[in-house]
Amino acid sequence: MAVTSNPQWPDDLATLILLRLPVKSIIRFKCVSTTWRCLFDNPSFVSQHLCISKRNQRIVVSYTDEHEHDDEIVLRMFHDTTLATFDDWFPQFQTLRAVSVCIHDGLLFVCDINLRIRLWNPATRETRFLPQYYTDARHRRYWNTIGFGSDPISNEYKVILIVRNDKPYKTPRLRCAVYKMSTDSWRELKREELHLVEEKTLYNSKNACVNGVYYWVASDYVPYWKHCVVAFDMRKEVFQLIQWPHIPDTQPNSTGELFIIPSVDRISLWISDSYADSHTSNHDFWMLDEHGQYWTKLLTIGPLLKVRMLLGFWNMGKGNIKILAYFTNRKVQLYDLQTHQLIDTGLRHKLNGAQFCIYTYEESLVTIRRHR
Amino acid sequence: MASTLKKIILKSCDGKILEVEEAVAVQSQMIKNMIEDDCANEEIPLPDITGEILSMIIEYCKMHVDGENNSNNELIARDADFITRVDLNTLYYLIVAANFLNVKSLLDLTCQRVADIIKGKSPEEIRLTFNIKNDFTPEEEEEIRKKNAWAFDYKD
Repeated sequence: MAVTSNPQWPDDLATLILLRLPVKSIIRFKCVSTTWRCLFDNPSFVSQHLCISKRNQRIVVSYTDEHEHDDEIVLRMFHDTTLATFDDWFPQFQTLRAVSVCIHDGLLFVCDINLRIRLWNPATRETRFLPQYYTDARHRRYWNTIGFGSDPISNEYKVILIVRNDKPYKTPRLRCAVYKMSTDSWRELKREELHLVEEKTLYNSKNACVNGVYYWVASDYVPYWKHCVVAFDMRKEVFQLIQWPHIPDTQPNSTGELFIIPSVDRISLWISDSYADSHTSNHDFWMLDEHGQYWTKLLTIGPLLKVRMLLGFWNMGKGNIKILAYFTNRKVQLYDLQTHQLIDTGLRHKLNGAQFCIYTYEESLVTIRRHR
Repeated sequence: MASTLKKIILKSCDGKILEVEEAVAVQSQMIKNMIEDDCANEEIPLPDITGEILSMIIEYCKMHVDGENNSNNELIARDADFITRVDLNTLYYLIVAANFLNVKSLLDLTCQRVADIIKGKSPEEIRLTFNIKNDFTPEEEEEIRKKNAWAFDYKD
């Protein structure tokens, strides 16, 4: 071919290509030209890039390695579903003694026992420590509930922190604050904003922000064990209550856990009935409708042998549904619902280790650097 | 059945005439719109698309129509086979044409292929590939490089 000079790409077509690059390449190409640098910083480019990046989601599992010291968590990112290749992330987090980890839009949220909160974007290598809000609540006698997510309309990232003093004579018993990433500041919620959750205990969910709403399982003080789901709208900053699905003949102590269903972006509630004297368990999976009001039963699994706990969906897209489970032999295995095949992930979780969860992760350009 | 046998006539910029089955032609959203508006009864001139590129696009669309009942993995394998045969220069013309004809899946495939080819390149190579003039001062460029030094350690 006699072509000597490469063609001049129209801007819109060049952008279509750049949106499909890994984050590391984009950061390297910032010095190609001033136009490209501006493009890469543009919020619309960042959110479109995230959207495409979500097609290439990876699985991350956080666990406490049985050879490590107390509460030192390991985050393992698997490159694909073969489980053959993986990266172990950030040894610097071991010293944090994380009590809660969320992953949302490629951002990691880590909260430690002293309510020190840190955000981290592994793809851009940016990190941010949040200003501490409840410095007097840095003690175990408080029951803390947290959530991290975003309002998809404004692209605002927020953290919600609920601190409950379990000594009934102390007032106020419940305090709640919301952190906004753009302003780098907390807003304390007023007493009247808390009336829906005041008489409830909220259980930390592992990762439950879907379409701008964060969810927790909660129970009433009186009557005891009456469960419901509490939702927090990240945009309006208001709480909502969602009734527990109606299940006849449930065991009084059967509780539930919330998980995101990958690929459809819905929240699901897993209710398990396990009997102390047997090694089998049954699990019901409910999915919340798009308006966040009603549950429909998705599937029932069981009886499952020797499952200590279910960790989450591995995939829900094309192909067989697989779930990740922790067995009584301390193995973390993938269970294929159709073929009943078990695949060992090679992870060895410490019994009663602190953090144990499955996440989806995608590379993201979302910046968490503070603007000067 | 008459509608499936209907042929659409496309004319490339270098005068090549191609007769395409309607089912294949409507993979292009642009042609689909023309058919719906009843504007596709005569030959459709495509001013910026050569016969060579047009044949490739029709090959791709035909592959997708024929493979409708195939599994997802099979289609992915066929796409990969199709796209790895194409060099960067041809990819440019394919992208321009897929964009004009609005063949969404082909635009996605070609753009992803270019991204995969260029992701490991240096900024200098990128400027050459995209024919871009460096408008940073040496100091500015040095500062960006220094700030993101880790991104310049690349063998991936």
